[in-house]
Amino acid sequence: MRQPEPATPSSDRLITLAQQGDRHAFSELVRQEYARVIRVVYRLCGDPQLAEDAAQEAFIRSWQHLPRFKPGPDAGRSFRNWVLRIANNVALDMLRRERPNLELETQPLASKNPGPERQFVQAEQANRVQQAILAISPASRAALILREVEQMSYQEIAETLEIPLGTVMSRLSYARQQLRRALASDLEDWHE
Amino acid sequence: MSKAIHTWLQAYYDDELPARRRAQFQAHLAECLQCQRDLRQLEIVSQQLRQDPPMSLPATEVFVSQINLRLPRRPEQPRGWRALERGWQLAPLGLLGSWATLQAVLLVSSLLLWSLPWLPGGDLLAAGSGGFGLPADWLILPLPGSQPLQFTQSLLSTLPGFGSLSWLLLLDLAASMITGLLYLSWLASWWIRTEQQFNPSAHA
Repeated sequence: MRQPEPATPSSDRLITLAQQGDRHAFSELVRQEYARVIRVVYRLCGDPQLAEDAAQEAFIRSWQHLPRFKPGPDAGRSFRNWVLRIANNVALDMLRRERPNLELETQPLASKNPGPERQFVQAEQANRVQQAILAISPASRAALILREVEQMSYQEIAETLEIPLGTVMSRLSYARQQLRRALASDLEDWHE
Repeated sequence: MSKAIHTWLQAYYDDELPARRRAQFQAHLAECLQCQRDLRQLEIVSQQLRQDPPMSLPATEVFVSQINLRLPRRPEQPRGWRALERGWQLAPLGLLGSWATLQAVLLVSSLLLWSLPWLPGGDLLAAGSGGFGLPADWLILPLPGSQPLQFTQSLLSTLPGFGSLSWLLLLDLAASMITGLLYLSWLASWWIRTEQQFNPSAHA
């Protein structure tokens, strides 16, 4: 079983200070979590600009409601899961209102020492994966991303998305099946 | 592959199987080529998902400063806010305690009134208290076109101090209803606060 992250005193302290109105403490929390939040939201919606906007909105709403937030035993992790819940809801609202730019441009990925051709192949591969993710229904997509990207347990996913444990498992199963079907030809190549 | 095995496979991969079931599944996995293949595919898909997505992140300080520019001014909590917050959290206990105290007082009062005739000087008191009570027939609810329930009247009116007891009963009912309403109001406010905490986007 995955070991829980040790509670960092700094996360506890930062959250307490931020709850009392300390903007510097909140800024530090944002620094710690923003990359994760943006990546998760990007996986959910597929639009980099929308992901950044949704992440910003999520942090602003978390600031407004922070006084009522009650951290769990692992304060840093529970704050992160709370912000991700808000970000997931914001992203879904934005997706319903706006048409995201789903035309993924091939972007070279930061890689250690790739040649240009290797970079292009990696970027193409990443784009195919992202397109396959976006083809899954939003509800199942959220469960998949939280599990695979954030390594959340089933219980944490259930609490974050406010769904029963059984629903988490069925959505994960559905999402993975869809993904395997969409990437069937690639799976053979990656297996080699 | 059966649905159960498929579910176990996923849970096994996610490290969510209980120990006993995990051992059972490992024994099955050693013999099932299909499950081995499916497990390998799960691993490959996971590896792809865990790689960095094809996007570039904004610079840390740029993002943080954009957030800071947009942060609304949160009003400072007034002095004594924590005490108010604590008081609100303890309100149900206070309501329960008040109700229990009132019930105890009413019970003792009822017992005293009931036992008045047997207490020294109680006859005089009983005569006096009856005068402050309601007539016994107030409890009779005559239905349209029907006779009042005379049995009820005759039974209740035999209780000593019945008049005052009826006042106590009214008081008890009123207090219980008010306490119940206050508690339901507190429950509603607690639910709203919890919703706002976990779904702030729904209340934006």
